[in-house]
Amino acid sequence: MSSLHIIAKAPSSVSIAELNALINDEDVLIFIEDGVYFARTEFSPAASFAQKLRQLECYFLEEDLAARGIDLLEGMQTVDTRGFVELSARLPRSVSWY
Amino acid sequence: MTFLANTPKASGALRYTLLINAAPQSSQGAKTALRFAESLLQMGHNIERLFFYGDGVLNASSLSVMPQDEINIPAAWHALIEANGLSSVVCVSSAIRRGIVDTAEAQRHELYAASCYTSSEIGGLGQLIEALSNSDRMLSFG
Amino acid sequence: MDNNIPNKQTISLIARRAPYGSDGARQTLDIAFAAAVFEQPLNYIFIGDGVFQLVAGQNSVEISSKPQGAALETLELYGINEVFVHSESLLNRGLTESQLVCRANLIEDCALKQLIAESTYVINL
Repeated sequence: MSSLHIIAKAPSSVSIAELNALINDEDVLIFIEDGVYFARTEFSPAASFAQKLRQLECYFLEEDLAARGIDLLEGMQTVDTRGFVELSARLPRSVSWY
Repeated sequence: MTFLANTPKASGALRYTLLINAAPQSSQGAKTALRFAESLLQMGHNIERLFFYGDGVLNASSLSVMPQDEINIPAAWHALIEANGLSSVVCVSSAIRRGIVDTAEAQRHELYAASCYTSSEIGGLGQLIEALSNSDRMLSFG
Repeated sequence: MDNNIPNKQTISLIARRAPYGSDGARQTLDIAFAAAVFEQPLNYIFIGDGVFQLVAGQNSVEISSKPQGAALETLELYGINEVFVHSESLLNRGLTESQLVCRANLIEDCALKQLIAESTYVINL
Protein backbone atom coordinates (compact mmCIF):
# COMPACT_ATOMS: atom_id res chain seq x y z
CA MET A 1 0.00 0.00 0.00
CA SER A 2 1.21 3.48 -0.85
CA SER A 3 2.42 6.07 1.60
CA LEU A 4 2.33 9.85 1.41
CA HIS A 5 5.79 11.17 2.27
CA ILE A 6 5.63 14.71 3.60
CA ILE A 7 9.00 16.37 3.10
CA ALA A 8 9.31 19.60 5.05
CA LYS A 9 13.02 20.23 4.93
CA ALA A 10 15.29 21.66 2.26
CA PRO A 11 17.51 19.26 0.27
CA SER A 12 20.56 20.15 2.34
CA SER A 13 18.76 19.38 5.59
CA VAL A 14 17.29 15.98 4.94
CA SER A 15 19.09 12.72 4.39
CA ILE A 16 18.66 11.51 0.83
CA ALA A 17 19.95 8.11 1.93
CA GLU A 18 17.12 7.78 4.41
CA LEU A 19 14.53 8.99 1.89
CA ASN A 20 15.77 6.41 -0.59
CA ALA A 21 15.66 3.68 2.05
CA LEU A 22 12.03 4.27 2.92
CA ILE A 23 10.33 5.60 -0.20
CA ASN A 24 9.06 2.88 -2.50
CA ASP A 25 7.90 2.92 -6.10
CA GLU A 26 4.21 3.41 -5.39
CA ASP A 27 4.58 6.21 -2.89
CA VAL A 28 3.45 9.80 -3.37
CA LEU A 29 5.56 12.75 -2.25
CA ILE A 30 4.44 16.17 -1.11
CA PHE A 31 6.99 18.90 -0.51
CA ILE A 32 5.96 21.50 2.05
CA GLU A 33 7.64 24.29 4.04
CA ASP A 34 11.37 24.35 3.23
CA GLY A 35 10.86 21.13 1.29
CA VAL A 36 9.63 23.22 -1.65
CA TYR A 37 13.28 24.10 -2.31
CA PHE A 38 13.46 20.68 -3.98
CA ALA A 39 11.62 22.44 -6.82
CA ARG A 40 14.39 24.82 -7.72
CA THR A 41 15.93 24.03 -11.07
CA GLU A 42 19.38 24.67 -9.66
CA PHE A 43 18.93 21.75 -7.29
CA SER A 44 20.73 18.70 -8.62
CA PRO A 45 19.67 15.78 -6.53
CA ALA A 46 21.76 12.66 -6.19
CA ALA A 47 21.00 10.48 -9.22
CA SER A 48 19.17 7.90 -7.14
CA PHE A 49 16.76 10.48 -5.78
CA ALA A 50 16.40 12.33 -9.08
CA GLN A 51 15.02 9.14 -10.53
CA LYS A 52 12.44 8.91 -7.77
CA LEU A 53 11.41 12.53 -8.34
CA ARG A 54 10.80 11.74 -12.01
CA GLN A 55 8.96 8.47 -11.47
CA LEU A 56 6.76 9.21 -8.50
CA GLU A 57 3.73 11.41 -8.11
CA CYS A 58 5.18 14.58 -6.56
CA TYR A 59 3.38 17.67 -5.35
CA PHE A 60 4.54 21.03 -4.05
CA LEU A 61 2.52 23.09 -1.60
CA GLU A 62 1.48 26.36 -3.25
CA GLU A 63 1.54 28.54 -0.18
CA ASP A 64 5.13 27.58 0.56
CA LEU A 65 6.30 28.06 -3.05
CA ALA A 66 4.72 31.53 -3.09
CA ALA A 67 6.28 32.48 0.25
CA ARG A 68 9.71 31.60 -1.04
CA GLY A 69 9.30 33.19 -4.45
CA ILE A 70 9.81 29.91 -6.26
CA ASP A 71 8.31 29.99 -9.73
CA LEU A 72 6.07 27.25 -10.94
CA LEU A 73 7.82 25.18 -13.55
CA GLU A 74 6.09 23.46 -16.42
CA GLY A 75 5.04 19.99 -15.42
CA MET A 76 5.24 20.78 -11.72
CA GLN A 77 2.20 19.62 -9.81
CA THR A 78 1.11 21.91 -7.03
CA VAL A 79 -1.62 21.70 -4.45
CA ASP A 80 -2.94 24.06 -1.85
CA THR A 81 -3.66 22.97 1.73
CA ARG A 82 -7.02 21.54 0.69
CA GLY A 83 -5.22 19.48 -1.93
CA PHE A 84 -2.79 18.34 0.78
CA VAL A 85 -5.79 17.18 2.80
CA GLU A 86 -7.12 15.30 -0.23
CA LEU A 87 -3.80 13.53 -0.68
CA SER A 88 -3.77 12.51 2.96
CA ALA A 89 -7.30 11.17 2.61
CA ARG A 90 -6.49 9.22 -0.56
CA LEU A 91 -3.41 7.49 0.84
CA PRO A 92 -3.75 5.24 3.86
CA ARG A 93 -0.53 6.27 5.57
CA SER A 94 1.81 9.24 5.84
CA VAL A 95 5.49 9.52 6.75
CA SER A 96 6.72 12.96 7.79
CA TRP A 97 10.24 14.21 7.28
CA TYR A 98 11.07 17.32 9.30
CA MET B 1 -6.31 -3.61 -1.46
CA THR B 2 -6.11 -4.74 2.15
CA PHE B 3 -9.02 -3.58 4.25
CA LEU B 4 -7.79 -1.46 7.11
CA ALA B 5 -9.12 -2.27 10.56
CA ASN B 6 -10.54 1.23 10.90
CA THR B 7 -13.13 1.64 8.20
CA PRO B 8 -13.75 5.18 7.02
CA LYS B 9 -17.33 6.28 7.44
CA ALA B 10 -19.68 5.86 4.51
CA SER B 11 -19.89 9.63 4.03
CA GLY B 12 -16.17 9.74 3.25
CA ALA B 13 -15.39 11.72 6.38
CA LEU B 14 -12.19 10.47 7.96
CA ARG B 15 -11.01 10.68 11.54
CA TYR B 16 -7.60 12.28 11.89
CA THR B 17 -5.13 12.38 14.72
CA LEU B 18 -2.61 15.21 14.33
CA LEU B 19 0.70 14.96 16.17
CA ILE B 20 2.35 18.36 16.58
CA ASN B 21 6.00 18.20 17.54
CA ALA B 22 7.17 21.77 16.90
CA ALA B 23 7.03 24.96 18.95
CA PRO B 24 5.02 27.79 17.34
CA GLN B 25 8.06 29.98 16.66
CA SER B 26 11.07 27.81 15.91
CA SER B 27 9.80 26.06 12.82
CA GLN B 28 6.91 26.26 10.42
CA GLY B 29 5.39 22.94 11.48
CA ALA B 30 2.84 24.37 13.92
CA LYS B 31 1.55 26.90 11.39
CA THR B 32 1.23 24.22 8.70
CA ALA B 33 -0.58 21.98 11.16
CA LEU B 34 -3.01 24.77 12.05
CA ARG B 35 -3.85 25.43 8.38
CA PHE B 36 -4.16 21.69 7.77
CA ALA B 37 -6.51 21.30 10.75
CA GLU B 38 -8.68 24.21 9.57
CA SER B 39 -8.93 22.78 6.05
CA LEU B 40 -9.66 19.29 7.38
CA LEU B 41 -12.66 20.55 9.28
CA GLN B 42 -13.89 22.77 6.45
CA MET B 43 -13.75 19.74 4.14
CA GLY B 44 -15.97 17.72 6.45
CA HIS B 45 -13.39 15.46 8.09
CA ASN B 46 -13.12 14.95 11.82
CA ILE B 47 -10.26 15.56 14.18
CA GLU B 48 -10.17 12.66 16.61
CA ARG B 49 -7.46 14.36 18.63
CA LEU B 50 -4.74 16.98 18.51
CA PHE B 51 -1.68 15.70 20.38
CA PHE B 52 1.06 18.17 21.28
CA TYR B 53 4.40 16.49 21.99
CA GLY B 54 7.94 17.63 22.74
CA ASP B 55 8.34 21.33 21.94
CA GLY B 56 4.84 21.14 20.44
CA VAL B 57 3.39 21.65 23.94
CA LEU B 58 4.30 25.34 23.63
CA ASN B 59 1.34 25.63 21.24
CA ALA B 60 -0.87 25.50 24.34
CA SER B 61 0.83 28.38 26.14
CA SER B 62 -1.66 30.96 27.37
CA LEU B 63 1.19 33.27 28.33
CA SER B 64 2.46 33.95 24.83
CA VAL B 65 2.46 37.61 23.81
CA MET B 66 2.96 38.42 20.14
CA PRO B 67 3.70 41.73 18.40
CA GLN B 68 0.60 43.30 16.87
CA ASP B 69 1.47 42.30 13.33
CA GLU B 70 2.18 38.62 14.07
CA ILE B 71 -0.24 35.77 14.44
CA ASN B 72 -0.59 34.29 17.91
CA ILE B 73 -0.45 30.56 17.17
CA PRO B 74 -1.44 29.31 20.64
CA ALA B 75 -4.44 31.65 20.62
CA ALA B 76 -5.37 30.40 17.14
CA TRP B 77 -5.24 26.77 18.30
CA HIS B 78 -7.32 27.70 21.34
CA ALA B 79 -9.95 29.34 19.15
CA LEU B 80 -10.06 26.36 16.76
CA ILE B 81 -10.36 23.87 19.60
CA GLU B 82 -13.12 25.80 21.35
CA ALA B 83 -15.09 26.58 18.18
CA ASN B 84 -15.10 22.94 17.10
CA GLY B 85 -15.16 21.15 20.46
CA LEU B 86 -11.92 19.34 19.64
CA SER B 87 -10.04 16.98 21.90
CA SER B 88 -6.60 18.49 22.44
CA VAL B 89 -4.01 16.83 24.61
CA VAL B 90 -0.67 18.21 25.71
CA CYS B 91 1.80 15.51 26.75
CA VAL B 92 2.46 15.86 30.48
CA SER B 93 6.12 14.85 30.52
CA SER B 94 6.95 17.23 27.66
CA ALA B 95 4.77 19.95 29.17
CA ILE B 96 5.93 20.19 32.76
CA ARG B 97 9.57 20.19 31.65
CA ARG B 98 8.81 23.22 29.50
CA GLY B 99 6.73 25.10 32.03
CA ILE B 100 3.39 24.34 30.39
CA VAL B 101 1.21 23.60 33.39
CA ASP B 102 -2.46 23.76 34.20
CA THR B 103 -3.79 25.01 37.53
CA ALA B 104 -3.60 21.58 39.14
CA GLU B 105 0.03 21.01 38.12
CA ALA B 106 0.98 24.57 39.12
CA GLN B 107 -0.44 24.00 42.58
CA ARG B 108 1.06 20.54 42.90
CA HIS B 109 4.55 21.82 42.12
CA GLU B 110 4.07 25.16 43.88
CA LEU B 111 4.71 27.17 40.73
CA TYR B 112 3.98 30.90 40.19
CA ALA B 113 1.26 30.48 37.61
CA ALA B 114 -0.66 28.19 35.33
CA SER B 115 0.34 28.60 31.71
CA CYS B 116 -1.76 26.20 29.69
CA TYR B 117 -4.94 27.12 27.83
CA THR B 118 -7.81 25.27 29.45
CA SER B 119 -8.97 24.14 26.01
CA SER B 120 -6.12 21.63 26.06
CA GLU B 121 -5.94 18.84 28.56
CA ILE B 122 -2.65 17.72 30.09
CA GLY B 123 -2.43 14.02 29.49
CA GLY B 124 -0.19 11.10 28.60
CA LEU B 125 1.10 9.29 25.56
CA GLY B 126 -1.56 6.68 26.21
CA GLN B 127 -4.00 9.21 24.83
CA LEU B 128 -2.04 9.36 21.59
CA ILE B 129 -2.19 5.57 21.30
CA GLU B 130 -5.89 5.61 22.16
CA ALA B 131 -6.58 8.29 19.55
CA LEU B 132 -4.71 6.29 16.91
CA SER B 133 -6.90 3.27 17.60
CA ASN B 134 -9.93 5.42 16.82
CA SER B 135 -8.50 7.15 13.77
CA ASP B 136 -8.27 6.55 10.05
CA ARG B 137 -5.30 8.82 9.49
CA MET B 138 -2.42 10.31 11.42
CA LEU B 139 -0.17 13.13 10.30
CA SER B 140 2.75 14.56 12.21
CA PHE B 141 4.14 18.06 11.91
CA GLY B 142 7.46 19.31 13.24
CA MET C 1 -9.27 2.86 29.85
CA ASP C 2 -9.53 -0.29 27.80
CA ASN C 3 -6.14 -1.95 27.44
CA ASN C 4 -7.34 -4.16 24.64
CA ILE C 5 -7.12 -2.22 21.44
CA PRO C 6 -9.53 -4.25 19.27
CA ASN C 7 -8.12 -3.27 15.93
CA LYS C 8 -4.92 -4.90 14.70
CA GLN C 9 -2.93 -1.79 13.98
CA THR C 10 0.85 -1.72 13.63
CA ILE C 11 2.85 1.36 14.45
CA SER C 12 6.33 1.72 12.98
CA LEU C 13 8.61 4.08 14.84
CA ILE C 14 11.57 5.51 12.96
CA ALA C 15 14.51 6.40 15.19
CA ARG C 16 16.86 8.48 13.07
CA ARG C 17 18.30 11.00 15.52
CA ALA C 18 21.69 10.71 17.15
CA PRO C 19 21.51 10.49 20.95
CA TYR C 20 22.17 13.41 23.31
CA GLY C 21 22.36 16.22 20.70
CA SER C 22 18.59 16.44 20.59
CA ASP C 23 15.76 14.82 22.52
CA GLY C 24 14.45 13.03 19.44
CA ALA C 25 15.81 9.67 20.51
CA ARG C 26 14.12 9.87 23.90
CA GLN C 27 10.83 11.10 22.41
CA THR C 28 10.62 8.12 20.05
CA LEU C 29 11.45 5.69 22.83
CA ASP C 30 8.71 7.08 25.08
CA ILE C 31 6.10 6.53 22.37
CA ALA C 32 7.29 2.93 22.06
CA PHE C 33 6.84 2.34 25.79
CA ALA C 34 3.33 3.82 25.70
CA ALA C 35 2.38 1.68 22.71
CA ALA C 36 3.80 -1.42 24.41
CA VAL C 37 1.75 -0.79 27.56
CA PHE C 38 -1.34 -0.83 25.33
CA GLU C 39 -0.11 -4.02 23.66
CA GLN C 40 0.02 -2.24 20.33
CA PRO C 41 2.08 -4.12 17.72
CA LEU C 42 5.17 -2.09 17.06
CA ASN C 43 8.22 -1.96 14.81
CA TYR C 44 11.21 0.02 16.06
CA ILE C 45 13.59 0.98 13.30
CA PHE C 46 17.02 2.50 13.78
CA ILE C 47 18.17 4.30 10.66
CA GLY C 48 20.54 7.13 9.72
CA ASP C 49 22.16 8.76 12.75
CA GLY C 50 19.71 6.81 14.90
CA VAL C 51 22.11 3.85 14.74
CA PHE C 52 24.50 5.85 16.93
CA GLN C 53 22.05 5.28 19.80
CA LEU C 54 23.20 1.67 19.79
CA VAL C 55 26.92 2.22 20.09
CA ALA C 56 28.44 0.58 23.16
CA GLY C 57 30.56 2.45 25.68
CA GLN C 58 28.44 5.56 26.10
CA ASN C 59 29.09 7.58 29.26
CA SER C 60 26.84 10.60 29.53
CA VAL C 61 27.45 11.60 33.15
CA GLU C 62 29.51 14.72 32.35
CA ILE C 63 26.90 16.15 29.97
CA SER C 64 24.09 15.82 32.49
CA SER C 65 22.12 13.50 30.27
CA LYS C 66 20.48 10.20 30.99
CA PRO C 67 22.35 7.36 29.29
CA GLN C 68 20.73 6.31 26.05
CA GLY C 69 22.10 2.78 25.74
CA ALA C 70 20.34 1.54 28.88
CA ALA C 71 16.99 2.78 27.59
CA LEU C 72 17.31 0.48 24.61
CA GLU C 73 17.68 -2.65 26.73
CA THR C 74 14.31 -1.63 28.15
CA LEU C 75 12.76 -2.17 24.70
CA GLU C 76 13.17 -5.88 25.16
CA LEU C 77 11.83 -5.71 28.73
CA TYR C 78 8.67 -4.03 27.39
CA GLY C 79 8.26 -6.92 24.99
CA ILE C 80 9.23 -4.89 21.96
CA ASN C 81 10.97 -7.52 19.87
CA GLU C 82 10.50 -6.15 16.39
CA VAL C 83 13.59 -3.99 16.54
CA PHE C 84 15.48 -3.41 13.31
CA VAL C 85 18.74 -1.73 12.42
CA HIS C 86 19.22 -0.42 8.90
CA SER C 87 22.33 -2.16 7.65
CA GLU C 88 23.35 0.52 5.15
CA SER C 89 23.20 3.18 7.87
CA LEU C 90 25.72 1.16 9.89
CA LEU C 91 27.92 0.69 6.85
CA ASN C 92 27.85 4.38 5.91
CA ARG C 93 28.96 5.26 9.43
CA GLY C 94 31.74 2.70 9.59
CA LEU C 95 29.97 0.75 12.32
CA THR C 96 30.06 -3.00 12.76
CA GLU C 97 27.64 -5.12 14.78
CA SER C 98 30.36 -5.85 17.34
CA GLN C 99 30.41 -2.16 18.32
CA LEU C 100 26.74 -2.13 19.24
CA VAL C 101 25.31 -2.42 22.72
CA CYS C 102 22.72 -5.03 21.80
CA ARG C 103 22.24 -7.71 19.20
CA ALA C 104 20.85 -6.20 16.02
CA ASN C 105 18.25 -7.43 13.55
CA LEU C 106 19.75 -5.98 10.42
CA ILE C 107 17.34 -4.83 7.75
CA GLU C 108 17.95 -3.89 4.12
CA ASP C 109 16.09 -1.23 2.10
CA CYS C 110 13.78 -3.73 0.42
CA ALA C 111 12.53 -5.33 3.62
CA LEU C 112 12.28 -1.91 5.26
CA LYS C 113 10.00 -0.56 2.53
CA GLN C 114 7.86 -3.66 2.94
CA LEU C 115 7.63 -3.10 6.69
CA ILE C 116 6.48 0.48 6.14
CA ALA C 117 3.94 -0.58 3.54
CA GLU C 118 2.42 -3.00 6.04
CA SER C 119 2.22 -0.48 8.88
CA THR C 120 -0.94 1.34 9.84
CA TYR C 121 0.95 4.35 11.15
CA VAL C 122 4.52 5.56 10.82
CA ILE C 123 5.93 7.97 13.37
CA ASN C 124 9.08 9.69 12.16
CA LEU C 125 9.97 12.46 14.59
